[in-house]
Amino acid sequence: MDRQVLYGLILTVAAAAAGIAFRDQHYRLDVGGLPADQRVVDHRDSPYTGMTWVTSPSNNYLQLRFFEMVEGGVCVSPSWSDLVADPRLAHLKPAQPPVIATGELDPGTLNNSAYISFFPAGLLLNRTVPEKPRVLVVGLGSGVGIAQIAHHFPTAVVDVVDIDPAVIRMVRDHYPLMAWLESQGRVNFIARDARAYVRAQRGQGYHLVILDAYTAGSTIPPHLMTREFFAECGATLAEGGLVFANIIGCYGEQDADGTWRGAKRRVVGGALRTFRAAGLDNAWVIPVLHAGDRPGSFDRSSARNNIVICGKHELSPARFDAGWSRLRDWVPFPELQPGRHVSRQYQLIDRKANTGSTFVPAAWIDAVVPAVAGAMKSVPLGEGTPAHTLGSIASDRALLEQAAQAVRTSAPAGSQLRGWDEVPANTELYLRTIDWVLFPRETWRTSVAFARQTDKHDPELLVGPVDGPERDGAPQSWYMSDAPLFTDQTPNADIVNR
Amino acid sequence: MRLFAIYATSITCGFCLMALEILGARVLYPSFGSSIDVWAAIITVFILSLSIGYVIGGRIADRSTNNRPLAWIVLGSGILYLTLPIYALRVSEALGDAMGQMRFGVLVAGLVLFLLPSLLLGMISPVLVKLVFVSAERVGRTTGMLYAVGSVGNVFGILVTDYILLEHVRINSNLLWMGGLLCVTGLLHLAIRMQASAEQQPAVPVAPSQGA
Repeated sequence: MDRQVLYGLILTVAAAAAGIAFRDQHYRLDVGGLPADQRVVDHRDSPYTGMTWVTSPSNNYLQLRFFEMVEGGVCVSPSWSDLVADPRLAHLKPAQPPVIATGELDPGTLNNSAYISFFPAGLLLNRTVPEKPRVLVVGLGSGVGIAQIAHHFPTAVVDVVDIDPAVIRMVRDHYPLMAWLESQGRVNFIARDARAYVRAQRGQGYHLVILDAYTAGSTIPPHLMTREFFAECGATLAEGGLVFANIIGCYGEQDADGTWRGAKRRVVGGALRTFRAAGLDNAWVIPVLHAGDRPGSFDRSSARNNIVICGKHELSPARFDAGWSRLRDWVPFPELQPGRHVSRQYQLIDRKANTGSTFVPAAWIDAVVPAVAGAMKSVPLGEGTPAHTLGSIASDRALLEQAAQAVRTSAPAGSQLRGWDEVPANTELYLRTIDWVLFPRETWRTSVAFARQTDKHDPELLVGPVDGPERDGAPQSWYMSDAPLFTDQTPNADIVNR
Repeated sequence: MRLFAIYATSITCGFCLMALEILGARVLYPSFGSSIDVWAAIITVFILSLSIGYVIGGRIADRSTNNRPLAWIVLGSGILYLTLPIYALRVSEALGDAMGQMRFGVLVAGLVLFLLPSLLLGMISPVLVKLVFVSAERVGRTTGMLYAVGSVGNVFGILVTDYILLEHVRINSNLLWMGGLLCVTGLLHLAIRMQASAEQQPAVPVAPSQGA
């Protein structure tokens, strides 16, 4: 054989072998601060994203991730079969028990992502709560928000439009409850671009339109964040209906000289201005308080989920007391009891380097070194703090060494033990306890109470200066003077807001 | 047969080039998002590499007398495709961390990852022209036909990747299959010698020395 052909062949084989060896890399499933016991359930690529269902028994989630970003998570416990054992949840009970393949999960309706808790708020703030709610969801994600609506509103019919048919297939294949809801006609999936679909739904009489479409880069598709699109959403609404948007962004970034500006805040401010320009004059923001946030210490500069709700009727807590009383009195998942679905996880935190290890299931340490649990000192909660997450901490170095040793020996193969191989000086052991039933309830309670503060969340005070009233006396630090107006001609909403 | 081999090479390379453009954007999404900046960067990189590739390819074509250089160019691009799964994600993530908030960050990542493979594929057109060249009289229609065939490959590369491959085949597997295809094409050109036609049948007979 010609020598050059031989060289070419050798190079080809070597390159192919190397490429095949690295073919299965995932997108950062192993970053710090994640559970050590997470595993990939399924991974698929589509024209729009790379999606992965990831589950962690210790953190009680099944999450859909687009690349490394969490789109939404549902608690694995209580499972669907746990839920239907409760006679009050007959509307979730299939005529025949679902067939779940071995190794597959059957998550229920309890959300593992904070912002999902607020989907019912869009129906509760309708002028009157509809008897048979019709909901249009733009952007499917994990589907847990739709499951949450189906849990609380047995008669609701939810249409979901998503541009990516692969996401719809992924949800059908690994979230049996969603597949069942679809078979019952309570959920309809439409694989289309939302802009084209929504325009065709004028006069459909939706009580609630939920805008939750994000690109794989965690930005809102620009054509779904314009005055014209919002007006088209408004035209699909029933009398007294609402548009509900999940907007990731923040209220402000403070420069060294004390002025507030930056890109991330422009998303929230822009959404408010744009909704009002689209004829949905009454808008309100519910900033979602995550675990560890305290209302008193609400950080305006960090990106977060903000729920923007808007419609044609008065929405402010002062002028729509009936609606806000419904929010105040609402109890998410009233059938579930606290204390039953609790996650306990340890993490090593290096105070000096400000880094943390992966979270490990508490059992890995407690079963080997029982003394650790006894040595934990609880971290006191701040006033008004969401109480679904409790922390305690220990710094006895000898004990920490034993704990890390216990983790290394009891972790099953394949665990991600980043940060557990040694215990640097200044390290503390943190125990995080999350009650997944309190999680939506407490998130709801604190966020709603926070959003009622009219002086901080009234869009008329937040954005301007073009389309608001005079704001003498408005607290300047909350005021977003540079909020843009997004239109089809100036649709630059794709601001990176990570 | 000879013409068929040249057209097949052109279609294959055109297909893989545009497929890489679509796949390349997808490789950059996780670190840089999917904004218009990403597409602007990708298109810039590919057009830039084509223009550089045309220049270098043209020079190589002038010097070549057979399909050996073509074989090594195609093989080289195939090897780059095959090895992209090793470093594409890491480079993209590392650059994303370093420059993710800067608008030109994605352009740098695109250049680092895709300039070389697309540049190699860009070199192929002029080299193929040299191989297909028959006579000065027909130079227009032969090169025109060759460009048309290559562009058909481009079109299929875009459509097939978008409509079919991305939905059913993982990104890295796509890269590996295409790398394999390019390598096989290159190896075939190595194994089967093809003389540049202009050398075989000179368009103008060499005139005898006019005397000095």
